[in-house]
Amino acid sequence: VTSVETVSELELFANPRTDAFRREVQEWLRTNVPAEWQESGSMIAARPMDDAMAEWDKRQSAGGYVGLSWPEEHGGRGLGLYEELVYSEELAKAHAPFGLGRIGRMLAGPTLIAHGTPEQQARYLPAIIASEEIWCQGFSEPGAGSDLANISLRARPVEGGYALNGHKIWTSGAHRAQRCLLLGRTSEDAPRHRNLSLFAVDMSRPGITVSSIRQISGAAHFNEVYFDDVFVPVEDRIGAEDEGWRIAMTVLTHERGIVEAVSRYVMLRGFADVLAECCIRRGSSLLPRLEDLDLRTDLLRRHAIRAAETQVNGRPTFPVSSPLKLLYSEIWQELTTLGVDSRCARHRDHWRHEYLESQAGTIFSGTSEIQRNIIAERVLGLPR
Amino acid sequence: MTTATIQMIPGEIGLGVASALREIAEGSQVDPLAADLPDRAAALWGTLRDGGWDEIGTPGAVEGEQLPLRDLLEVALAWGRHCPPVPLVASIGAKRWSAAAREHSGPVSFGVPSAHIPGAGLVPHGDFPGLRVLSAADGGRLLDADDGEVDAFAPTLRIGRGPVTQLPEDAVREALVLLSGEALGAARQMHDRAVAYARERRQFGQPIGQFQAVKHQLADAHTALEVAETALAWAAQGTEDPRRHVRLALGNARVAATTAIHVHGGMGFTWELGLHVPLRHVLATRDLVDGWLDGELDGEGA
Repeated sequence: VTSVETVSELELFANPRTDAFRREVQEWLRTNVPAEWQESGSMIAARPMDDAMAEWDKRQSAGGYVGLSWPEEHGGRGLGLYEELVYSEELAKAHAPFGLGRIGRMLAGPTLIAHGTPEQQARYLPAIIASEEIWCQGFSEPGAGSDLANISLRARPVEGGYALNGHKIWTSGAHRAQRCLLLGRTSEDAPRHRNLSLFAVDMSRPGITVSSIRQISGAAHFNEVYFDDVFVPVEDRIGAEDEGWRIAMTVLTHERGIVEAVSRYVMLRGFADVLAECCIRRGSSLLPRLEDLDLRTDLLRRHAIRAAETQVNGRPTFPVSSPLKLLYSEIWQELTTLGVDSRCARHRDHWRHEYLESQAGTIFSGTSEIQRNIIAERVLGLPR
Repeated sequence: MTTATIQMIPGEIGLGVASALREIAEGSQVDPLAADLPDRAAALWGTLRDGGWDEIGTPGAVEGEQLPLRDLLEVALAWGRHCPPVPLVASIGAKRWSAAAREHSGPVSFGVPSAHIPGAGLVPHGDFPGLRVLSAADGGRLLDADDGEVDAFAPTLRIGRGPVTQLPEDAVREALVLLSGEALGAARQMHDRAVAYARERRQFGQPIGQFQAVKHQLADAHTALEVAETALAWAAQGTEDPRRHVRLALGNARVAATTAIHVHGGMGFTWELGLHVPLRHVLATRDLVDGWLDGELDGEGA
């Protein structure tokens, strides 16, 4: 079984620009990632507390690693998808998390760059680049999970803006966020997909209550957020009224899927290596499962690279990239299942925890059922 | 630090050749089950020969360069989507490796070592008219396939017997990628037909493709085919032993091909519809390359 180190020596993005960038990133990470993360030996122990995460966000900003592919006019470095992939991969290899700034960097920022007014861009983008403001994502609701368009949080037009009333759920990082990228229903009678608007909500406004959700693993990564007559000024609506669904969808199907897959790959590679180096011995009846998963884990990265090359060369990318979420979430669960099946004494606690955590993989960011619908309808053209 | 150049997608030349060959295959109207097969297959070979398409992979063939294997994979995938019963893919390989093969204007195939019969070679398109079999990549001669020994299970592959072609590891990799690419193309053709059928075929007052039970099967088939293509694209890079990638790609091709049969329901099970032809091509390719894949996992330190 190939180790992470062996793979890293192969220059997959073999052009001088990305090679130089990779070396720059490796060097920077070596001196900037806290030693206890780097020395944790695998992804296993890398679960930093929120304060350490906030400090890590600031350090990434100071190093110039936030907004790598954003245009320079918006404070980014104007680099491309390959550099985002290289950074994501090297970050995970150094056992460093992406940070609390994920939603701002990958969702809110690109949305504002594409659809925001110059005033909104000037107001919000610099704070994302500097990791001074954390964003959370207010999309899901108790009644709008897989059926995301069924959002019922009311954004009622009032003098100078909107009054928000409703309930968001699965809002990662809401307890630390200054801003929320929120979808709310601005029209009661317009048809589905044409009744929602997108907002940048200031989380310090009166009427917002955040409470955490404990997961089956015992950890608490998510929140519920209640909105009770929360005022949002009209300047904080992103895009036109009732255009929120269209804008949100263009951003959700953005290239983030490829970057996300590569960063997940590194975690999965680490899992497969732990299984190979410790939990599953030569001659074990579990060995064929490990060999199969080992190959499919490698292929996840190669598939992401193929998708990236396809996109960078301006060819139709969605047929290639659309299975990435299915692939990584299902490989993730199979690896943790193999972990608990191995009954490895040394890693028992690890695999128990990761088995439980991995169950989220086929639920978040579009369940596997929704992913299959997307492939069937948008790639294969089957009727809705 | 290594600086191997990885190319996971085909270049413009590969895309162009693939597109031209797709048109030729579409226009040829060769039906492996029809009575006029020998005439049409011979005519198609003539077209390919006149265009020099069997020499597309030879050194210096395109703008003085040798097409990278990734581009030839694209050609095999495109050709496999129609899968005419003509030894184009085998000839592209043989003529890439051997001057003796290039000197022969007719089709040239090669012998894959049988996994079961020591010393026996399995020769794709073994009884194709005028076919010669390459003895070795280096300093090889052209031999004849054995008479009368043809496995006709896959009419598009008609695997005969003959000598085992002596090939260096690089050429084995190329042969594996090309043969598997053609088989993956055949599976892709079945998948495309299944998707089209699911849009048209109505039951319970709606297209069956509107049912999630059918949608999800086809989405999984799409995923399997895409991953298989990635596996072959990786095998084409030459950075590691290609065998486990080829094995996975052919396994995924079989799964997707079988899904296509089932999406067609009872029709898929009929001889008349003809879906068994590409399915047989996939199954026969797995058997054909088994001698090169066998035992591959034994030596792994996983």
